[in-house]
Amino acid sequence: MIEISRMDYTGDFVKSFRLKRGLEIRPLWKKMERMDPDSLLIWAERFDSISPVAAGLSVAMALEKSAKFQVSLSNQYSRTIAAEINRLVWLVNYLGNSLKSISPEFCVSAAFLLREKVFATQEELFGGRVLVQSTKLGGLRRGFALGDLQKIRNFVEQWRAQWREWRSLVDNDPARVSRFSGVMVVPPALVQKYSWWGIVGKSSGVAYDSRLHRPYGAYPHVDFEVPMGKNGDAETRFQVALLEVELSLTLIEKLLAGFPQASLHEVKEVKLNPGFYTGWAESGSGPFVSVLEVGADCMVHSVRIFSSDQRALPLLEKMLVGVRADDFWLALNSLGVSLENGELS
Amino acid sequence: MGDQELRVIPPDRFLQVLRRVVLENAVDSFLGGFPCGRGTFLLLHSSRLNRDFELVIGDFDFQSISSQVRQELAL
Repeated sequence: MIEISRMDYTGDFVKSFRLKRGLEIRPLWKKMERMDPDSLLIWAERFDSISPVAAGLSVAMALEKSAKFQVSLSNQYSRTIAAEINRLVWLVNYLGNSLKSISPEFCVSAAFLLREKVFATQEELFGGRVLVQSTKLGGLRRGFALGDLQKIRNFVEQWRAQWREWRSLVDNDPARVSRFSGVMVVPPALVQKYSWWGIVGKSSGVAYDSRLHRPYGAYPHVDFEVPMGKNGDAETRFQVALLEVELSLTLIEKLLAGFPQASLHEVKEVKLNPGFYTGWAESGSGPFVSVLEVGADCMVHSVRIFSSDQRALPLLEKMLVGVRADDFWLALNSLGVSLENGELS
Repeated sequence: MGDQELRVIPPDRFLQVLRRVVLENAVDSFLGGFPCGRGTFLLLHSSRLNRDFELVIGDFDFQSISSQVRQELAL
């Protein structure tokens, strides 16, 4: 969510603006210090309410490294399916917000309805609707039963039918394409410099994706390519997000098809080892990279999750100067940056 | 990714070590940092090597260290 506290214009163009401060100040890091691992994972999801599974998963991975715990293959598959279902939330939310920037009516409510359907499925599978709280050390809080795999297949089939119908309305709509084209071009050099991965990076020709470049979970067991564009404008980002939805649906199907026989691998007791540990998971806005500091007392002393949003947020107040006032919200929302997990000075 | 117990870099050698890591590994981005139990933790990234680099500086002045890193990387 982005809010503006002040905006000045020169004719039809934005002269300066100021993002609303305060929303990004969060006591999360302090709260998580010296927490036991299970509680830590529940709180880690609050880092980003649109991509909670990626946040939880990245911290779980770091904790498991510290505990020298090997996650079973079936649990890797379950977690990866959960992460891909959750990615749909970020993606349709992004697409809906981008459309809302040009018209509150243009297929916006249908996009948010698609998001609601993902929320309902998350609730049914994991118990949590928005903050899914699916991840626990070594696997999922609620492991998949055989019936759940069929439920997920049904969800993908039905959701994809509605998605395709929605996509056919927006994909090549000439009025939409003409509004989005050429707006807020992000050069690849800026992407590299700030590791501004996710939709923004891929649309500017930097196809960095932790699912491929830092392989984890069950991703090494499925073949896929990440979508990429080169123009770096709002239209390219919109098209890449559409392709990312298709990729997530395909990945869920591939993971279901190759789902291994379940093997029980319950974590009875966890002992963390001192040191610094990292974990990562791909959200729609790029990889979340978590770092844990475990002290000599084997307790977690510090936790941080780093995201592309944090690095990009301080750039926005300069980047959007000179944008046409009519395009301002489209330019801003097309970057998909959230104030929630960022930091402003 | 190291994931090992990191050696703490003394504050007076910080810039020297940082410049060497940046040069030798084509580090071009600063993923983030935070004040930790033994000073300041930094996570750097090299897009050419597709690798992260972790440094712990034995100094608690997080703001000053972060701004020196940004300066070195011309961010």
